Amino acid sequence: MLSVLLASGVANGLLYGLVALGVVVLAKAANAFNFSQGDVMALGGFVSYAVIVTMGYGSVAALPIVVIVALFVGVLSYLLLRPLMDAQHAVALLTATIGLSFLVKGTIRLIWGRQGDYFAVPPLVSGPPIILFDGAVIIPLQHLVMSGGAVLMLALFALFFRFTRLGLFMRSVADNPRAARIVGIPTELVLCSAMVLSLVVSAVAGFLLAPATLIFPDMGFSLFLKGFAAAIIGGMMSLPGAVIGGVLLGVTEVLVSGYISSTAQELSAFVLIFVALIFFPRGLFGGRSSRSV
Amino acid sequence: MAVPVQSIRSAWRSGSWVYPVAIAVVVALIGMTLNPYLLFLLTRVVIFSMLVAGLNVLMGYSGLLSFAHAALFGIGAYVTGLMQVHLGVPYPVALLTATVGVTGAGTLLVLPALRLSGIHLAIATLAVAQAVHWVLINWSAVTFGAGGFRAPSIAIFGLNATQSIFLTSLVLTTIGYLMVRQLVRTSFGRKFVAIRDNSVAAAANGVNVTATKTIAFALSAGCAGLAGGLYSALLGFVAPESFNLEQMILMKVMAVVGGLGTMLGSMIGPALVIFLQEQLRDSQGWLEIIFGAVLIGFVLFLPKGIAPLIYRVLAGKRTETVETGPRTGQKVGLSAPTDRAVEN
Amino acid sequence: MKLFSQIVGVMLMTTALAVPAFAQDVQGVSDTSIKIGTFGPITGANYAFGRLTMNGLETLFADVNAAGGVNGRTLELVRVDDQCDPAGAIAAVRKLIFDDQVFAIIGGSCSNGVMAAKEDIEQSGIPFVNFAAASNNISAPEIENIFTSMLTSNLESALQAQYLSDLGVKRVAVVAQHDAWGSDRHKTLLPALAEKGIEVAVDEELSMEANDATAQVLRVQGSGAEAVVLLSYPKPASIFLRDAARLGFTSSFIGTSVIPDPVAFDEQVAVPGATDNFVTISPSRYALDSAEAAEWLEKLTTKFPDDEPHTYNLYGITAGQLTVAALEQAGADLTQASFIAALEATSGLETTFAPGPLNCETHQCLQAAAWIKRTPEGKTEVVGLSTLD
Repeated sequence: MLSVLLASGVANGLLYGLVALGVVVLAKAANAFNFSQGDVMALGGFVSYAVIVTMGYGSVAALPIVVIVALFVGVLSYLLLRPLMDAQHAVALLTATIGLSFLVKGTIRLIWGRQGDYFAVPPLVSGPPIILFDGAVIIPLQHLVMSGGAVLMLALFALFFRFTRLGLFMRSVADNPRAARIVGIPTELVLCSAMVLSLVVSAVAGFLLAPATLIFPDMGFSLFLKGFAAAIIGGMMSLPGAVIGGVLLGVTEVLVSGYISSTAQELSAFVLIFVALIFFPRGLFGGRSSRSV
Repeated sequence: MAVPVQSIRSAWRSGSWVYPVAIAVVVALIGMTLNPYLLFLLTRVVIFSMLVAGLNVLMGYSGLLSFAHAALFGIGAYVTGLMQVHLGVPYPVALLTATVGVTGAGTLLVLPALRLSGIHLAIATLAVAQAVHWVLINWSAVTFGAGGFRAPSIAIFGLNATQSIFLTSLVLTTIGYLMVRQLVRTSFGRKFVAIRDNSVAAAANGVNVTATKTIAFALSAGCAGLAGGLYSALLGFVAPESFNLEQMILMKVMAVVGGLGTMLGSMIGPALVIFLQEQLRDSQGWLEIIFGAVLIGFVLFLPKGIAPLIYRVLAGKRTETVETGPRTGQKVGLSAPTDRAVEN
Repeated sequence: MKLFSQIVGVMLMTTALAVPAFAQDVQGVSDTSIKIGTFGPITGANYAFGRLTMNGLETLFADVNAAGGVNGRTLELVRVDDQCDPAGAIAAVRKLIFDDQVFAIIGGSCSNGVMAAKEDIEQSGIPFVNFAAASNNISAPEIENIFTSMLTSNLESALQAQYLSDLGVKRVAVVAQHDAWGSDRHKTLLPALAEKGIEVAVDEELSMEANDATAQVLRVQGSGAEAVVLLSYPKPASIFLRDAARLGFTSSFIGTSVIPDPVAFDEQVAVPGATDNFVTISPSRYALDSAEAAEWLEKLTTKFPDDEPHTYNLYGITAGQLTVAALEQAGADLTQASFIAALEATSGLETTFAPGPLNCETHQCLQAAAWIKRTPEGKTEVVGLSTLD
């Protein structure tokens, strides 16, 4: 039982980790948080539904379209929120992103709301699950794809931040926006890319998640919350921390559900967030402090 | 709490209570002629005004972002309703207990607020709110679970239930409004703002940050608890979904639309949002989009909300807005807080 | 105290003004039309329960109007959105009664909303037929002006217990979502099972947010339950069945009336064979894809081309047929009292979709349900109609 639980906890957790990745990218580069991330994740799911089911193209076609839509939404969000993207306006920005979250959710409902209540997106790959150790571990291919996608995204991000100019710019803007501006780093470009990247990774997470669940317009918020929890557990500023935080959360949930009570499952995420915030304000894996006076 | 008592006394002498009371009397007069539908809406506006006034102390004056208000509002409603149902306690006693209890619970929230700020505090309060929601649903032996329960309504002076709760809410909200307003106008209010704008500088200048934050939370929670108790009698039915995150966001919209950091905004915001909500009752799905757009629009273009506009219209009357440090949106001018003030 | 005495004075003055005016002879009825109100979620997450049921009701009204109306009067439907929120439902009901001044209300989709508005409905005495909300507490204990044409949670639970008992099941697992609807069903199912001597082996929660049911499936699997009752919306239920299929767990799965269409559900589960042992209960005896529903399906899609047809449409048609029959019975001299009397006297009324004749003596007009299953060919099959023994 334990091995089966762990396997599905890890798969779910990697998904939370992907959302957390989006949270961390924006937090790192722009010191900002975006409530509409979860709804863009849902949008990713709905767009892949439209491409795969409604238009009848394969999942391979869905991914680029999901990315393009997310790019579009990202640039639009940036243009809209640009006046608020500095340190003075953190709370105002947060409030505005709540508005953005409503906008995205409302738009999803307007487009797909009348076609049914819940949509199923066919699996990205089909085939029998991988059975290891005499059935002690059963890994459905979808979980494997989900996990693989998450790991790939993580690797891409790590490379991006370490080796590309834009990535380095982003890091320096996050560390000290004023100094970055003085040395001539294009702050606007950095903030814009951070917003776009964070939404693209969320939409891709939605694309990966969609086949494993049923999609509906309201799915975004609770996923964002879990992703956020993962980011907090991981220390908010660390990319690997975000993914490990996600896995930790996913595993905790499934273990609580399996060994304590399935009623306590929903609670475990919130307890974890609270504990992490109060006792590990720098996250379990360090990172910059964001403590106040 | 000697200072607030003193300041209330001085407010009494200065006569600054005349306008609000006169407005309340006019509202009461109008309210009594309305049909039950409109009176229900008006009462919601009155109750939410109290709630948003409390939220404003936290968000607008102290700059502390909390997502726990819907939960505190809910605890107020549940305690009031459940004490009447389970213990047979009369309404005023239940309402008072709920207010005191929620004030206590809300004060506890200052514990995370002392360690966290900005978004981290927001998320911590959000986790608390979700946990409270979970308890309301799962502790069904006491709370009657997700299906909710029927809370007694009240009747005074032989009026019907809606009229009774309307007048009660109006009286209590007016008193609450005057008290909160007095508090934010005095040295306390300036301490709130000082902490909001720059807590390091405030501490350096002798403001007791912990005490001031605690008072902000207590005051804010007290308003939420009292409003919750009134809401339970208005609805006559208490269920968890009346106090979920969606409601929390609605409250935030009210505060932002009315004007953060203005007391008048606490009255206008609920009125406008509830009016809009009723107008959109058959809008076929545009409600979310319109609310989203309104929220973004206000943050971007009218960061101080509607209240300052009204003050301007009222023939040069001195605005009650806390002029220094526009928090929501708006580029900061010369008198602005330093740029590290908000997030860190 | 000055303020207080002022207010009291004002109050005494204005109470006289607050007496409602009786403008018409009968509210909402003119020589040519009858105004009927409906409320429920038209927008938001739960829109299907409200808007789609209203669509059915409105389609039926349009049909009746096209044939000349009821006793020469056409039926006019006023929709109000309550967004599934208790305060919204109170506002909606009061708007219908005092602002729109409707003759009767046929509506209500979210139990908590209807429960919140119940006091207003009761006090106003307006005839009310609940068309989609499940809670038994809406219509029991009996209130003079409140009726329901929906399958009540008590009856649904009792019929599920009876079905399991007929199958010879002794140990059952319950998987429920703990929201207003789920806990109401849960609260009524446990005693119903106990009455039939069926033991609850495990009682699990699966929330709307869950994307994984591994833990729940394993616990159910390990409990030795012979059947599983899924008290959940299609989303959690399909997550459960997918994970059950993945983990090789097979059992008898019993659904509820929120999953009335096993074919649509199978498409949502989207794992071949996963719903083979799934049977569900429905307040409609014909499925959407049946020959009997074809005529209505066409009318629905013509009238509401943007809304995907759904079984909830049919619940609205049942409520509408009950309303029209009672209005006809009440005669040309229509009053709210005569309509209520006609509703109460309804007995043995055959409707197109209700699984049994409607008898409104107890105000809970629907006393039967259909058991529906998906055939291997992908069609729905009604495997039986059942009433309480």
